[in-house]
Amino acid sequence: MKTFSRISIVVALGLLAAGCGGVTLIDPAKPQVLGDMTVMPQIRWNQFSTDHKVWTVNGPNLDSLHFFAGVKSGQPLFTPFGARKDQMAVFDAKMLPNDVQDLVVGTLEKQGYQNVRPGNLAPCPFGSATGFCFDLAFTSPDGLEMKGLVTASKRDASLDLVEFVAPSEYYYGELSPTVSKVFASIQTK
Amino acid sequence: MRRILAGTLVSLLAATGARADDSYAMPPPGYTPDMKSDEAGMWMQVDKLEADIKASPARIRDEKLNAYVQGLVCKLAGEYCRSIRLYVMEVPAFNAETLPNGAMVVWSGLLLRSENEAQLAFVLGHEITHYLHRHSLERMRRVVNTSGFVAVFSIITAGAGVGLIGLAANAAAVGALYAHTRDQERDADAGGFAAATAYGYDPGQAPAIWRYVAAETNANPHHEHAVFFATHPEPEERLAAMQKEAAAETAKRGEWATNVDAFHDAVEPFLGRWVADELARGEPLEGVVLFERLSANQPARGLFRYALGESLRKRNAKGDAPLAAAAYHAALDCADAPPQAWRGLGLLAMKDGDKAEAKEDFTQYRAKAPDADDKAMIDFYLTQL
Repeated sequence: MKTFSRISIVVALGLLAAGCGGVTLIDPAKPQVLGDMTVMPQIRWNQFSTDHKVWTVNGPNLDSLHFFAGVKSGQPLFTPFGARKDQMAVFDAKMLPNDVQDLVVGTLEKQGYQNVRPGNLAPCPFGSATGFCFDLAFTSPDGLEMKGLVTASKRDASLDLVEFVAPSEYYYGELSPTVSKVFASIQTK
Repeated sequence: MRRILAGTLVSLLAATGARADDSYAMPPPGYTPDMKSDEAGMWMQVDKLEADIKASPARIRDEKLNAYVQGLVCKLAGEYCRSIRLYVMEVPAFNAETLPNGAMVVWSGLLLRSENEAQLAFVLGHEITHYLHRHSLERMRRVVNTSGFVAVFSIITAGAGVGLIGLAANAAAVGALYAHTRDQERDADAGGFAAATAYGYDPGQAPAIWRYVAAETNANPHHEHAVFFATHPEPEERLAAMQKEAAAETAKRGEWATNVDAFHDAVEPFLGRWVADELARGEPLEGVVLFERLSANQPARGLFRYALGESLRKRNAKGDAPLAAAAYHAALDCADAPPQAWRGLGLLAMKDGDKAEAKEDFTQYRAKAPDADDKAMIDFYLTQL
């Protein structure tokens, strides 16, 4: 645990240095409320905010779990650093899961990721509702091969979406079982 | 052949009679700059960038495709062929770049957008001229004189060490260094034009490819991914000059080549993937312009008609839905009809509330693509209809 705490301090310092202020540690046993979603963290994460909540264990370049809660019609999932809001594809309440998948792919491309390939779009439980999920494969701006997992649900004309991305070498395999448990723990109001 | 080679080199090196300073002409093949020179410093930086490009997972290593493009480069560069190292990269935007050290990067977006070998030859010839006339060195020295060494160093390193894709992401910063002047662009246009027409490539294809790309860029008010034009300014003026020159050159002989069959043979195995890359880029405003053109150019290719349908559906402007449906139907009339055209029709019908039509379309999609990776989602849609 001492080692883990040291790692957390290093990650937190790294996040602060990267300009991600307000890093907090997430208690693995305490349910976390993110918009209308409540999730069980499973493990200790570092949390910081941009225009949405992000959790990471090893730093955002190595693993990141993004919570997009209550995205309304006409809004982008988020606006990456250096991009303008009007350049981003936006959510539309009429979107079907295939369209939301395209929205995620287009948003990742705007972040500088390349050759984003979604796959295995399927209905998935999202709290007590039927949502949908899919996976991702893409290349990072640094040329790293990356993988991702997404789960989402559309209700009352808004979108709740959780996205996990990490380099396919080591970090994705290390954390994806935990992320799947986080996804399975989602409860909605 | 030897006469053509000699003619090409003479054209490339001398087509630029208007150049103010010929001291930048590339020394003979095998040249490396003096280690104490500013040029050596620039090469050192781009060597790092080249190492990233070489190891990038986005690099297309297919021997046949590389041999085809390399053959074209060698034809146009003559004896400088051995100084140029080609890297074909799977990056969907239109771009080609020859770095100061001879690393030539060709993005798949250029190959997707070219209709024939002649169009590709004019673009490659243009880039080879930038290299042979050391425009980057000239530009760097100009920036040093106006901005100082620190600014130049930071601009170079903005691109180095972050891979090709990082280079694309930092295009605005790198473009500040590599953006060529209007004179350099005219010079590269002239050199590329002379080299390609010396091999009998149809002069009209030179303005055609630039016109196509300008139309795509102009369709997108954000111009965010117009990487090529970040480093190649003043397209309208150059286009007009090129059209005038092409008309004059065309009249000089009866037959010109486009080598369309050889080009299609080389790129055919990759088109499905490159179209998927372009669609994933999330720029449907540009995609509509691109795939309207490619569909018109190859009316029997269902892949381009399907991509047009996808671009229209994703653009989702007023009146796009029926146009998208028409494009999907046209795709399905082609021999290479992608099954995903049925999915596109189903999604349009489902959104339109036409359950019977959506059910029919999704059923067709499932039948034509039984192993589609979104089959579970489509089956779920079918339970809702």
